[in-house]
Amino acid sequence: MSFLTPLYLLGALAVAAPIVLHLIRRTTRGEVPFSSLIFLEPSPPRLTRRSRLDQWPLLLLRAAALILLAVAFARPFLRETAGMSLGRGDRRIALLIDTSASMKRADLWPKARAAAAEVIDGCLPGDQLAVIAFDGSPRTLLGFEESSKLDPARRAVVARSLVDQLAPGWQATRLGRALVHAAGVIEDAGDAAGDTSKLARRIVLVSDLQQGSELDVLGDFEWPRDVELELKTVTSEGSNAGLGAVAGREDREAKDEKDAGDLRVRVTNDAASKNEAFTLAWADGKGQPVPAYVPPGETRVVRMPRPAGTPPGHAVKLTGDADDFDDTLHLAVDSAQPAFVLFLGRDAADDASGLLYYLKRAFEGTSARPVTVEPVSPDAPLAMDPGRSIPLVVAAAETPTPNAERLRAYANDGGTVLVVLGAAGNVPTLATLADAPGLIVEEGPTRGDAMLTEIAFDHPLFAPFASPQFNDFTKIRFWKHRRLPADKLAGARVLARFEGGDPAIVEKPVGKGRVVIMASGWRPADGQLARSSKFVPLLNGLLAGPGADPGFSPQRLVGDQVRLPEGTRTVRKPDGSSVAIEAGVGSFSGTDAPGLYAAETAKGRVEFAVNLDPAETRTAPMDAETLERLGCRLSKDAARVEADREAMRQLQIEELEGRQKLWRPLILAALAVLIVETWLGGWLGRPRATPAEAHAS
Amino acid sequence: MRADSRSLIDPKALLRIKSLQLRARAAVEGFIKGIHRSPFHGFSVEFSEYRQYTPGDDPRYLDWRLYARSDRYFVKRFEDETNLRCHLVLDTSRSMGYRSGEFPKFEYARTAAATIAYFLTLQRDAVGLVTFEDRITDYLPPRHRPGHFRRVLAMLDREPKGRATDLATPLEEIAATVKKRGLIVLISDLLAPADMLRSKLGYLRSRGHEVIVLRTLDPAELTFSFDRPAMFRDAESGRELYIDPDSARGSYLKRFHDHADEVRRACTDLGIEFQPISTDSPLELMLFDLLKARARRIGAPNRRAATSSSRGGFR
Repeated sequence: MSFLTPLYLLGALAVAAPIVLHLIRRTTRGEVPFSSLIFLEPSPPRLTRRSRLDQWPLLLLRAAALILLAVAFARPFLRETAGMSLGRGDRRIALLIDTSASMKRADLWPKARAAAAEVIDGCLPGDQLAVIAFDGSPRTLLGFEESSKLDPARRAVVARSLVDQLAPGWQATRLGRALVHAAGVIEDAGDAAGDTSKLARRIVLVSDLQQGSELDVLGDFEWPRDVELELKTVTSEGSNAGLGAVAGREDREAKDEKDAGDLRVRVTNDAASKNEAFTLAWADGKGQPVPAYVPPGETRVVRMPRPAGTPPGHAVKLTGDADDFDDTLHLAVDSAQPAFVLFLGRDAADDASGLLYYLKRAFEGTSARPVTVEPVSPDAPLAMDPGRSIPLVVAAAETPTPNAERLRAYANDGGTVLVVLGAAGNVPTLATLADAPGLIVEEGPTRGDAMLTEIAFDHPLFAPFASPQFNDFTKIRFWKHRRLPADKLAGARVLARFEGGDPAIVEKPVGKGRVVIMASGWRPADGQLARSSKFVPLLNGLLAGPGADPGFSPQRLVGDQVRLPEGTRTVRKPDGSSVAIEAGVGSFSGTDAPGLYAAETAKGRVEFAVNLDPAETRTAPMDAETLERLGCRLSKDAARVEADREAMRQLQIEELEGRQKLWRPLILAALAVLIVETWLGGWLGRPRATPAEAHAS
Repeated sequence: MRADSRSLIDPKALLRIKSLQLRARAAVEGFIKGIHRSPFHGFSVEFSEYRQYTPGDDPRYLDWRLYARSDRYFVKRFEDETNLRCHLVLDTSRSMGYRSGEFPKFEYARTAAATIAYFLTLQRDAVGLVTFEDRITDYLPPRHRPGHFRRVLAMLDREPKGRATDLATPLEEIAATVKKRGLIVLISDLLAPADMLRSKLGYLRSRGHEVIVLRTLDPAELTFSFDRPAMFRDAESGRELYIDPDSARGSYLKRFHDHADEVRRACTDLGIEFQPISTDSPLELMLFDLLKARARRIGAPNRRAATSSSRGGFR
């Protein structure tokens, strides 16, 4: 018989406790009064042979119960011949190789390949092996199933060749996702094989383990208890600094006019870096280089003046650090030309009860594009300068027919006309614009106020509000509105309605452009819209064209899926190759390298820059404890086969013991002994009649 | 020096006598009987009331008879006052209630006090009684008058309340209470720190009193003859200790004797008679020892003592 937890047998020593306690002459028969204890000191208890054991059977029963409990806790089992071979190496190993951009540094990649080869060569014939590469996402190159079909020698060759074909790409390190994937692959392989026996499971990670690795996913993942993670970290001595563009309100924050056109660049220096002084320069050699002083572990924002009078530069380079894989910042051509919004109405600019007052303020804060609101008299002939970018015209008053015709032509060419219905009655301008002659608008019900309902959150205008935290429109009340017969507007879509069903916002496509009709304005007399947080995003939404994608941004990261402007036919990559985009496909996922990409659309070319993930710049090595904190079970010793065998043996023993469960009868026996002991104790302790009394009775 | 023990009264037998007066009488009679048999009885007689006349002495106190016989002037000092003023100071604290045999130490102590009182009364000396626990509980000033002895006995007969012993306070109080110089016989077990005893007994001596200490102890206290381990409870503080006599005896006896030596040394230093008595020793022996010690202090026996046969003397 053997024991799974033999240390519990030491508990049997507790048997000695009652005997020793009995033998200690601590038991005193009463107390002895004495005149004074000033000459006495307490005596230590000592063992004496004179103490007699009176109740031998009771003592033996109690001792037996203790011993049975100790043996049960030691979990005994009977040895059987193990049905599992130990010599051939029964491990399931997932080799996880980092191919992120940071692996491009110095000689990291050759080192990583050597480490991977070592793991492959170290596999024993009985082992199972999978090869997984990862950067932004994990890719299984050789699965367990496939690997099990190969004989061990062949498997090693295949695995090595797969590793040799790998090369670090430009993507960020999503380490957490890769570890979860690898753990899943190992678990799935176990499930597929219907394992009852437990194989040692191990993930071997070959990586530079940089601090910029994303690990968030591990926080929610329960790491399998029997999967060990072995780290094979490759390190580089070099120091690194990285670049990033600072998006935002550069024009507004510039201290003076001179700085207004500057590009602001964020330079991050690695904590382990040895350099502090860097230089920034335009890649095309224009302009003066800008020095940047960034202490290790810190980040500074540096202003880069744009060379005057030349086409804008497309890339900024950083020099001064050891690793150059992340030293170029690509910039898309700035399309932020000044825009003009024409306001066709009679409101004074400083009249807080009019529309213009709020319109001007709504566009003041726009950062991406400077917008100027220009009031135009509705009676004067409307002049639309083709050289200016006019994305929106607000028609708040009736205008003569020629002007209305011009507006329709503008909409036909792709412009947006926002018609605000100010009063009931004939609306000839709208009738002209929407091609609905004789359109008459009535005054809406005046009782109470109205909220917006049936909002079309799928429409680009309302899409920014689709999330639950933004989609509360109940605080916007309208006191007055006009009743628009939307059914007379062919092809129009009602984007929102008032309570009661009257259309509130209607969009009608006109040619390439559109007419948007609001049945109530944002004057304080009409309702609370101007005072609502929804007002500014709503009007800004109108600035974009009818088919505009609000999600499109010209600055992207490697690996991002880019939503393309409508009508994109091809995307040209930085290396000159073109990727054809099928009709109906709205996104592009081939952003596999940093650089400038161009989407060719019917309207022209839309450029977007793709840069390295800024996290990839943080190349200082991470502590292994970070992984442990997130629940990964790190292997204590590097690939020690002996240790594994010992672990296997232990697992087998556990299994055997689990099958036999000898502790159960032992516990039952202990309970039985205790019952007998209780009965005997009671029997011995009960008061008995003396023989004389018995005789008398 | 000591009388034949066969002639002495067994203390157990003596203490079985209910009446304290009878006990005292029996002890004294036994003692007197012992004196007759003692070859050293002369030593126990005190005779020092005469001294040679020196100019300046009051001629009224000259002993003319002696002058007639010896042609020398002797002053009969304190002829009127020589009646001894004796204070019996009896410890009635809880520790005195301890007994290992039949009688507690207190029983023995009060019998001793009664015996001394009876003996002194027979000699026409004035006897007073002070009993104390943590303070003086009763005080009977020394007198020699009919019925006084009975009052002493009545006071001795009172059952002690038996509170804790604090020898310091009562000794201070006695020093303050007993103004007139005389003999103070302290009967106590003296189970108190020796240095404290030294200072407090020093108070009494500094007042000019002659002090005799009869240290009454139980045989068990002297030998620690317990045989089984037990929880020992302090009679005074109530504190309990687990004691295994076999292992504790050695250190107890050493400490006890150290303490006794310390007390004895203090008494010697202060000029105090110190007599340890065990409750299993006959009372007459106590009287013997007392008289012998006193004789030793006062001086060699004189002729009168030699001729005196029946009267022992305390003076």
